[in-house]
Amino acid sequence: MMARPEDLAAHASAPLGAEGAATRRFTRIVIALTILYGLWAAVLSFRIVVEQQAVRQHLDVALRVRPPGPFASVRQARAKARNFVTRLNHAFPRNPCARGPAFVLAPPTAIPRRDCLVVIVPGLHRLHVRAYDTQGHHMDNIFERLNPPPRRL
Amino acid sequence: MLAYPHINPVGFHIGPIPIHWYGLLEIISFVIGTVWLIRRGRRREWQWTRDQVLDLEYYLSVGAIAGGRLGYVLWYDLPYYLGHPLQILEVWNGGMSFHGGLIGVILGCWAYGRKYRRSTMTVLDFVAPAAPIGLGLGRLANFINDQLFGRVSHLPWAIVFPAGGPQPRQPSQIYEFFLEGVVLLTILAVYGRKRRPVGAVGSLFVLFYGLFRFLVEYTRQPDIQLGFVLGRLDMGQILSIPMIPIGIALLYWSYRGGFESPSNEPPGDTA
Repeated sequence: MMARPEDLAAHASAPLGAEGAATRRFTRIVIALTILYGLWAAVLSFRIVVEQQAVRQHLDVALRVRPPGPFASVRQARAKARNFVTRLNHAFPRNPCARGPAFVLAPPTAIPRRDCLVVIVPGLHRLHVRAYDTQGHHMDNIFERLNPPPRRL
Repeated sequence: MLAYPHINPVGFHIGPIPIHWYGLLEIISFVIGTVWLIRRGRRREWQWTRDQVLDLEYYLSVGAIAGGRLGYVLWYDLPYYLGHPLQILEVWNGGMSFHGGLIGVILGCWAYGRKYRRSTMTVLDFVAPAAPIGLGLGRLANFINDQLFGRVSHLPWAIVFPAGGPQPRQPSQIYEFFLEGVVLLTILAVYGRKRRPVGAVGSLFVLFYGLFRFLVEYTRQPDIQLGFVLGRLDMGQILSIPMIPIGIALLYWSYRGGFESPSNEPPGDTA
């Protein structure tokens, strides 16, 4: 038996009565929660993009302008690294998402891990650069170099 | 480690116009989805005419493109687009969000439902099983286009994607093709074969897409401008998390009969 158009419309239209009122209330709650969650996600995203852009710029600068190796001795490498970190912190004094400096010097055996941090590690052949994102995860230097930040410092 | 199959992003030329695989796959998925929906519309429990289905496709396309783009702007790179507002219109430069697209599609279903006096959930039920076709082929297009690849990995099937540098990575687009395309299509097609409570098929789509996307994101390289956004979660996961409880709540509500019409007798139900 084929359905009549009026049956179709009745089937398709929004429910009425007490059940309909409950469904409308349920729908409103779902929509309101979705909007609130979406706004929260947008605010979170905005903040992260701004902070992440800063740490990406810091990493980009450190990778581009690090003093070239090799060095005559470990002592010289350390001195170069210390001087490099001082210059970077002077140029970019603010850590975008955590307390403390944006750049630190650390030995290979004790590399600190902190949000929005760029760590300079002295090595005989070169100064190594290791960066952590806004959530404290290790960033990928190769991938960052392939996709440099839009506004380079 | 597997070698990346270098597929020319340009499939062929029509005269001077290069036809990219990405666009071609989108068109193919659109055509398959439309044909399938026209056939689905002929079934006794639906009874949608061809013109109604084509009109629905128009609403869905506008909703998906507008919502997808605005979602990307809002959730993935708002600071950039606030500085370059005109670039929001440049959709051809890339940058679409599934979650924004889904909201756009739901709004499209709502607008379409108002025109044809159908409830939004009924329209969603009708269209949901066709969505994984476009989603799956879209992920294949991402793979061919060397984009949206996975995280660095040393699994035997990891692939060196040229745009991702020399490190082998998870072929997350293939995982997504499988889960969001093949598996989701199978679930919805099988589940949707029988008459279900109004809203159930659409709810199942929301639930399983959210679940699959949340899981696959663990293998996917986060967007470079964001990185991780909350602990180990990336933005795709943040946006997928609510889909799971919302999908469950909608499913519960639909089985409770909350989205049924007052008569509770769908047309064509002669059993």
